[in-house]
Amino acid sequence: MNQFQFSRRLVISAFLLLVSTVSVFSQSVIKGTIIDEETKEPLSGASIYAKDEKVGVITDAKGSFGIKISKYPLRIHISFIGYKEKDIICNSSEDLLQISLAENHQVLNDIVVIGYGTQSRQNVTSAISSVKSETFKDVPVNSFDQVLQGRSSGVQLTSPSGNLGTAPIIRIRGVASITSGTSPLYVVDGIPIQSGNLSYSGDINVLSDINPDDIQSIDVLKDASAGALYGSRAANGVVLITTKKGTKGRAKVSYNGWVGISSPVKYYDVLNAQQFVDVKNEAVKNHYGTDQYSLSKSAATTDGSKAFNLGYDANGKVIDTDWNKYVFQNGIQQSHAVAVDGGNDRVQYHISTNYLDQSGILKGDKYSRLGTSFSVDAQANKWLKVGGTQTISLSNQQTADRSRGGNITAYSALSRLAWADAPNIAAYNADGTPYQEQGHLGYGPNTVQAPLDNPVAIINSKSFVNTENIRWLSNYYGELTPIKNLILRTQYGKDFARIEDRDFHSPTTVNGYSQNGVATNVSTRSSQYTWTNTANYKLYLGHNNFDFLAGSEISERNYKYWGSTRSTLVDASYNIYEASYKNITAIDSKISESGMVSYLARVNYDYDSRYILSANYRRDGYSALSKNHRWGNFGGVSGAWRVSDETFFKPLKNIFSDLKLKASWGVVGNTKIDDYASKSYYSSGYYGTDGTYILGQVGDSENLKWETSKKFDAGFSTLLWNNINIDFDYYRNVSSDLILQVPVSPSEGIPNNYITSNAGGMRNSGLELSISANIINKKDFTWYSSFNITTNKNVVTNLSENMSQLITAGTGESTNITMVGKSIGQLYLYPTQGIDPATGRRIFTGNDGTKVLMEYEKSNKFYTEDGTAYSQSNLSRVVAGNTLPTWYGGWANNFKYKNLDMSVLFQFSGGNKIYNGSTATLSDVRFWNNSVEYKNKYWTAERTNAKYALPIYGDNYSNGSALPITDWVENGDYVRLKNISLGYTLDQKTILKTLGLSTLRIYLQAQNLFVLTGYSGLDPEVLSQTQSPNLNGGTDHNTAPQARTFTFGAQITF
Amino acid sequence: MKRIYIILQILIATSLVSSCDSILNKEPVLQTTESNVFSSADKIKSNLLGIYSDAKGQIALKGAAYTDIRGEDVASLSSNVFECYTVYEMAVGLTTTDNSDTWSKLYTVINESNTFLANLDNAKDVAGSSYSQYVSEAKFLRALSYYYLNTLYAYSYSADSTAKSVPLRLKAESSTADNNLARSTVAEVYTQILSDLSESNIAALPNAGNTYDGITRASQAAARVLKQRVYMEKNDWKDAITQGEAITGYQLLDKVSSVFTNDINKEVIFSFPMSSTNKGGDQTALAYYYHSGNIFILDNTYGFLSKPNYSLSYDTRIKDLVSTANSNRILTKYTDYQTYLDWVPVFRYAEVELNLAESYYNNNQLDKAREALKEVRHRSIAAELDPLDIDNLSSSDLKAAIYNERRAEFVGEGIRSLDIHRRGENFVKRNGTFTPSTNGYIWPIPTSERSVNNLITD
Repeated sequence: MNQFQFSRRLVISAFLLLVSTVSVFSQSVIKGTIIDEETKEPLSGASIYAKDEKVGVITDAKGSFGIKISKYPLRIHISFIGYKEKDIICNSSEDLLQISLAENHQVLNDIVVIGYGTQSRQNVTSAISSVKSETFKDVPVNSFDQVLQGRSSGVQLTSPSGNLGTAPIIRIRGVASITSGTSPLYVVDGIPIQSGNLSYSGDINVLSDINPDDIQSIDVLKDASAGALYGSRAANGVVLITTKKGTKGRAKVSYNGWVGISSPVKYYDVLNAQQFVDVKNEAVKNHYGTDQYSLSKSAATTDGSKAFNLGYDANGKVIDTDWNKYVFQNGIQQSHAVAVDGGNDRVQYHISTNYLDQSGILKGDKYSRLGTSFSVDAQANKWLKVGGTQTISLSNQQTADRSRGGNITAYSALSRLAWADAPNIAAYNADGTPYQEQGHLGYGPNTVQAPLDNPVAIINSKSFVNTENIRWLSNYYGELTPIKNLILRTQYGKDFARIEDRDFHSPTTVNGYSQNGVATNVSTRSSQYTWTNTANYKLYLGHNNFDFLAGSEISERNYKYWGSTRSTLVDASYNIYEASYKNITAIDSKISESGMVSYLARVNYDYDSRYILSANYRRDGYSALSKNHRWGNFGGVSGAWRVSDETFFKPLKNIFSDLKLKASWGVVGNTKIDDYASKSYYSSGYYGTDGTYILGQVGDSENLKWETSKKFDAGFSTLLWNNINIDFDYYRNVSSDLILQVPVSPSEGIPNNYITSNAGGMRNSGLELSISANIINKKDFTWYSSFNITTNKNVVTNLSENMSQLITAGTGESTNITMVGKSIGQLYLYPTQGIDPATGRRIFTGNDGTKVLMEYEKSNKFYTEDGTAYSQSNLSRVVAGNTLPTWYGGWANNFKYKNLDMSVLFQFSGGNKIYNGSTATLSDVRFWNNSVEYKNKYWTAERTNAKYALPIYGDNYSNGSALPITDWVENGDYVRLKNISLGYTLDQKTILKTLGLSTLRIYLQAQNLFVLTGYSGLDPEVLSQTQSPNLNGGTDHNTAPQARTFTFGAQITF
Repeated sequence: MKRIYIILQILIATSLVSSCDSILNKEPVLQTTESNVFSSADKIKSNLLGIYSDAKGQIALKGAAYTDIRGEDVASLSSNVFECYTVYEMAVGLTTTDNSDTWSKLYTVINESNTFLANLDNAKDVAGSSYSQYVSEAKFLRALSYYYLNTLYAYSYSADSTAKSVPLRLKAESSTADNNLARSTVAEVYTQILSDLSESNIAALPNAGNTYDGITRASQAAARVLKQRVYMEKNDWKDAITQGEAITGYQLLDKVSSVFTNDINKEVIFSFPMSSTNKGGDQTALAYYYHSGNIFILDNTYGFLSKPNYSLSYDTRIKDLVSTANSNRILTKYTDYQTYLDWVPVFRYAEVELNLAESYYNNNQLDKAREALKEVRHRSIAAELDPLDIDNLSSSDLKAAIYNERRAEFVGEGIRSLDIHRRGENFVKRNGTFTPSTNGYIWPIPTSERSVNNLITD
């Protein structure tokens, strides 16, 4: 309960009552209890105020109170945080016996967590969105960051694929940096924690170490004023997580569990064996004149067989393998969490334990986690409070898909195997072992080798990447209250992760065959600590309320890994690192450290919650920057005017119950840069049997300084008719001195061909709107709806003087460019104009606008329509669309009818283009399988209106593999039914009593039920190059589809 | 009471300030600074060896495959762009990875040499007596890199010596200030190479073969072979002959296969070593490409194996170094496909002899040409069994014999396409004929350079 609010109310009420008459009456005490209307649980700490008597009491642990009264009727005002206040006229002692309070969904009375403290929502002047645990209690995620999609304005989330455990890509109000990190800062209970993928060979999301069930609320700080207290790290926004703490009162034991099944949202329809053989032989015939041609010997076949032939098994049946079956699966998932919380006036505790076990939609994808968390808050005596939280989690992730992390052309990119492996080759030998020829899928009955893996060989041999992660998040604090309203607080938090990666390739797979088995084990240790000391003083002078904060903080991070690769198994039946191998080589180890020292201060002022002002300042020094420019000053101011409290506003007050205008401006920085970004150094290596020193990095050691973002925000919040909450913001963030890997010409021979300097500039601007209301609020039926939409316009304003554009190579292909004047990561592709109906060739557009036909079988490859050779250097790429969504949001509806509840979340996003690279994979005219769509839409003399070119065997140009083409660009707009859940709460008191339960709710839930989109790929929410999501975004190439999950769950409190 | 706590708070704050330094001064733990490297003789040598290591990264791995797969003796069955497919197809373009990687790696070696030379100048006393040798070694590596750049990115000297070639970087670079540098001509690059390989520079190099250091680092012979090649590019046959005749202390082994089975021997002049901590891997090591018969194969139709005098079963090169896998002829000079520890020879004495043969021929010393040719050919084919009567070949037949012998001797050693390019011949391969005016005969300077260096023009 907010002491500040209660005492203020008390003071005002007392003042107003001074003029009321007081009559003498013999005093007697009437007793009563206050309970929660829904759960019938007693509420302790509720305040009862008898206006006439000017007496106020608080309910005890059992919800009971006793109040002295003089006479009836008695006007009583009851209030309790989170509940609707009640005014009762009491005429007899029975009236107060049992009073129930209903929960308040009005947003205004909330407490919002801000940097280094809390604030009541009505006094918030900066841009903060809050997501309470209630809204995502049914959502089956393994990591809390996934719930932010569609639930908070300003937050754009892209889940890169259906791979289990991949971190989603979160951008708050656009992208604030070009090559430095753009994920927000995550702070748990005041301690910044590590996020992202900390493993060496795996692809994990360390935020999943926090059990989403343990989270009370998530607050997203979006503008500079909100974030400035995190100063140097707030350029990309700050996500504050508050975990559940103990509550006073009867200990509550609760269980929350679900089981579910997930499956891919869509499959590609690929050719069967006969279709494959026909299509491929046609392509061979078009190239070499005959299909009786041996591709591996470039000559006619001697036995009359064709380039591609059907294969037969031992029984004479045609081999027709559906590789989708061997790659994708329905994944079973279950989660169980038990929590105990309780406490008394002095000590509150919360203990929870959780177990999660998931299989993904790709065979071999698994994630399991066993975690426990406990938090204690103890008021040692009147002036000392101590407490802390420990979260320990042991998780294991397994995957066979080596395309994760952006490696789209890996041999064992699992999804691609489903689409590209030849269907006329068997999955198994007659003896049940997976079919493979020297690790590759092999020739089979064809004259060319299918060089990719047999997925069965990968899965059966356990050629997985296993990542085991032990994470310990701890924080400890002590608070001294030497005088009233002054809190001195010290808090120490440690975030420790020990990760072991085990990466095995069996001799039956391509990557393991030549060395007869390869195992790489890497041990990573990543830890950081933060020690914060703050002094917080609240001062109340009449209507003026001040909140002062000053403090200092130090933080250090240490990251290191080592490991080795063992190859050539002595006994090929083993598949672990610890077996016997002939060779062992160490990997290149790494040790990396960084440190930060900071000073911070803040003043919050409000006059009667009507004029509100806030200012904060932070000074940070960071080790990764150059010595001369290590320190940076950050800060922000914000203000708000509660217009609805003004006297002149009274006539409108029945419409606008609350209207607050606000604005903020501030400067924040970004520290997601390499720990040694400013240094020049030599690294060690080897040459034959000798050691070497070689130039490792050239850095800007004199000048590298802070990246800064100046953020401006203006808007209003209003409550209409005491029911509809509207929040509107306009934001404009200008980032400058961006730390950029400024390219140097490769002929200068500088390591990596770049020097890290401050060079770039970026601007993000847009609008955010959230509307929420109780549309229907009757006794039996309520309907609460909440809608949010954000627009974002991202423009790169500056690169560096030598650089008007930045082309970063993705892994396997380069499809993007970043240039001044456009948003980051534009698609950058070769312009094409479809298929020429006369010749069936793909039409490329030359620099000069000439129509150029791609004729693969001829030596020059490119010819103009009249047959002249055209130089390939005259084909240049063009900008083909932006990859960042320009609008996104969500619409949530919660319905309640008696005991049934239903919640529906739609999530939408659009304004971006996607390069559908998987189309290139599925229409490649080499040894790869193709889609049924390809077979139906390639050019023939009878079918001249075609999507794909005349098949010429070997042609990897017309389909976009060698040169990514504009023909495969599609719109990425979509609306998705993200979550729908239907629940039933049992309230039959008798049944509950016999079972010994307090509450029981069961529910059914579906995630990703359907999506409305024009995108022809598997799902419009996709990102293949996850190692570089902003510079190389917007590509869908060989990436696994998203997953659709159905769950059934139960929430029980005892 | 409260005063104590306020004081405590101040103490805590001040303690933070004083421990600032250790928190904010983080130097990389595993790396070292330039001044440290040039403060000791051992570290200077380590830096020099580092330049060799980077040269190896391009010339001995994958780069070694490029110059063979461009030729017609080796063909590729793989259409994987990470396995030299684009190079094989003669379709290397502005953004092909093979192109930007090669460009970047060779220039890295050049800048490392330039930086080494600049720093060494200030550390003469630390280097001591090895100073001149180190200077020559760095210049050798620089010359070697420019040689590959000049023969890949520009037309041959004989076609047009004033044609545009690559920019000549000759000083240490460490900032964005010097991004722009125009292309020099083919002639200018060769002049620079010859100046780096001047006689005085060569004199400072050691002259000992058959030892680890003598083979894995620059020696007088190595510099002379490179110089010989450059003179042949310029059609300076007399100078080429002088260089070839000045190489002493090496001899042909009994069998060519011994060059590849014994890493250190009397024939090899310069070779890149491999060891468990520094070697190639899948898709970079030559053994990966040659051993399986699924990627690089010897072409029976367009390659030298189609010529009767060059596919004799008793030719020890065919007997020992050509085999069959997957029904295709394969080269077995590089066989360690499991641990990739095969060394990659760059220069060996047989090349000196055949360079001399071609130079003598072009200098009208046909008898000496015949002698040199016989030396090499009759090492692998017993003279009495040789169907080719070298002594009585006509002039044009002798020329063909020398050219063909080079192919049979050096297949897989990265020489074939350099020969075709040098002579301005056409590439006549199984996947097409490529003349000097075809796209892809030479490589274009990559976009990664053009986008930053504004002075690059065609």
